[in-house]
Amino acid sequence: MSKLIRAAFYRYFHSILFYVCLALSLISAAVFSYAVRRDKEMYAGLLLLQSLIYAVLLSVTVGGEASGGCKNKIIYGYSRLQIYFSELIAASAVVSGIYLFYIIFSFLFNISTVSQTPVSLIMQSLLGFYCISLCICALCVFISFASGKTIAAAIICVILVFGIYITWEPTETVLNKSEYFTVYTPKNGAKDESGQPVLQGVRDPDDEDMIEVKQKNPEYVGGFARTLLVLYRDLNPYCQLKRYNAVLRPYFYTEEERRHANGLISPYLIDAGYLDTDITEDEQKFLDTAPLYPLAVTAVTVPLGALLYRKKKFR
Amino acid sequence: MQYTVTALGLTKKYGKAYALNGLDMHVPSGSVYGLIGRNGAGKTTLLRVLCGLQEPDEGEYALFSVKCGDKNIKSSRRRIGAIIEKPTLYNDMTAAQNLKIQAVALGLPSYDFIPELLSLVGLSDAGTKKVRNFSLGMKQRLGIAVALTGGPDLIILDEPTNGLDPQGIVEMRELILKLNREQGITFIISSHILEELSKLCTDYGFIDRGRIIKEINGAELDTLLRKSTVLKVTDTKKAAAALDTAGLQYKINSDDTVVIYGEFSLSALTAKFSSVGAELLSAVPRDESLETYFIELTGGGKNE
Repeated sequence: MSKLIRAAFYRYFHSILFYVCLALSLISAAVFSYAVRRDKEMYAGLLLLQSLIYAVLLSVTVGGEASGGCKNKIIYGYSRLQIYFSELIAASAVVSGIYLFYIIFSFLFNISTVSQTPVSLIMQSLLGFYCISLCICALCVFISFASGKTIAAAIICVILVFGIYITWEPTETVLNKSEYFTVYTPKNGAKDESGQPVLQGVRDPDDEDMIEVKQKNPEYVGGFARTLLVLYRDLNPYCQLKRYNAVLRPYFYTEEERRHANGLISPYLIDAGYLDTDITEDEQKFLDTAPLYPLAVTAVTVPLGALLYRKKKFR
Repeated sequence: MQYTVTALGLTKKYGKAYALNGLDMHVPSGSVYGLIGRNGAGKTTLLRVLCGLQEPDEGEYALFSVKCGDKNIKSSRRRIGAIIEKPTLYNDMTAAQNLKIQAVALGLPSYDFIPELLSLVGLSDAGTKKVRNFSLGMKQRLGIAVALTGGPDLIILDEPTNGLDPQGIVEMRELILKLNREQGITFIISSHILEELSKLCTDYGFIDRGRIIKEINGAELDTLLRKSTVLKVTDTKKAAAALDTAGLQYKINSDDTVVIYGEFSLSALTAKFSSVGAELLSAVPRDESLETYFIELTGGGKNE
């Protein structure tokens, strides 16, 4: 199989697309660093760009192999599993290389931020994003072999990446809706003209005739649908990015910026929690478990893809 | 006789339709074996099965005397090069890079053979041109070069002249003959251009409805196809005596029919027949081609 892996590397390193993707990663790293410095924010759009780089590079390269190149290898006596895993290993190595390239340049561009962030936090975050990268890689290899056509694979991979991106915010919004909300109604049960109880969202502090009532939020999603949404949120790399952002964001500020902000911002009026470097229990749990989700997707995708390719008929 | 490929009872079904239906095949070593059949007769399926791209539902085949279920079949496959339907090439790479990828995948220790191989297939001037800019003929030639990487003993070509211009067809034929004669490579070639196959092949397999209905070598086929004249005579025994004295090659087909091979003078023959008391009733020249032989063999039905 090592010969197949070497052949796969040869294809990557002799492809213009590989160097274009490397250059785009460099630009992406520069934009990431600029955003962190200027806006103190890791934007989801940057992860989208990096995911698209992986998706296009892998679907075109692996898709090209799956759509025809592999025929010669089967004729030479290699098994389909050897071909699938050699492509997967080579793709993972290429993604790891680009990821490392991205990280090195991001660190170089942002050396001050990195130096003030605890090493353990950096390592946990890097591991999390690396697992996301590997997951995207496994998905792209799976799609490329399953579709068997380069263009189809590229389109499906790009749609998948975009699909995950455009659904992360609505998912968060739906999940953030509370199950109940508080309203106020007169003690005497007064009703309006249509015969419905009088309800108001804000109570006049002087009005003692109003009582607090908890009302079910009709937009709240509960039950099994909520379980699925929570799972999807945990799996969604952009939702993960948002949570990594919450943990890392305080370190995007320099000591001076933090002192300055603390001096100006009144804790009673404006929430200055984003400057708090203490990691909550929830955040720690997230940091510990976040890599498991992409790894779980990878663990399902890889054997499924290999099995499908093994059974695939060449027409 | 030593065989490079043998198949016994090969069966392959797509749904309920049989693509191969108990096919038997024998490809002699060092031969150029022409696989002749209509569209849908099972040619490409057979070649795919032999190349390992598809598994047969029943039956077995052997490559270099190693059976398909044997552990060593992989090492036998390393001795094969093939183009099935169209060459599998990397379009964004040069000809030399395409060959290098195959060499790396095969684990060849050196890449020194690449310029020589490119020269052999007439692509030494391709330089840095990407394959996507190649003509169809150039792609076919590169496909052959890819198939030749690693020095195979068997090359399987499915419709190798498809889409080639007349010049390209001639070049392809010359290349195959050269490789067969100089390097002893066995070829299996499927084609629907029978005229082309007749100029190339040393052995033929006629395939119809998933079965090889006839295997024949070139010498036998030449005998069958050589120019002949069918004579209808009143007495074949007397006619045979006259033909013997005339020194002509002939075959008695029935009580009143004699087939004469080669050129002869009709008036002289009529006179000889008269002298022995036989009368010539009719003489019909027959110039059978591979095409007419194939149509006769398969019953002359339409393409499926």
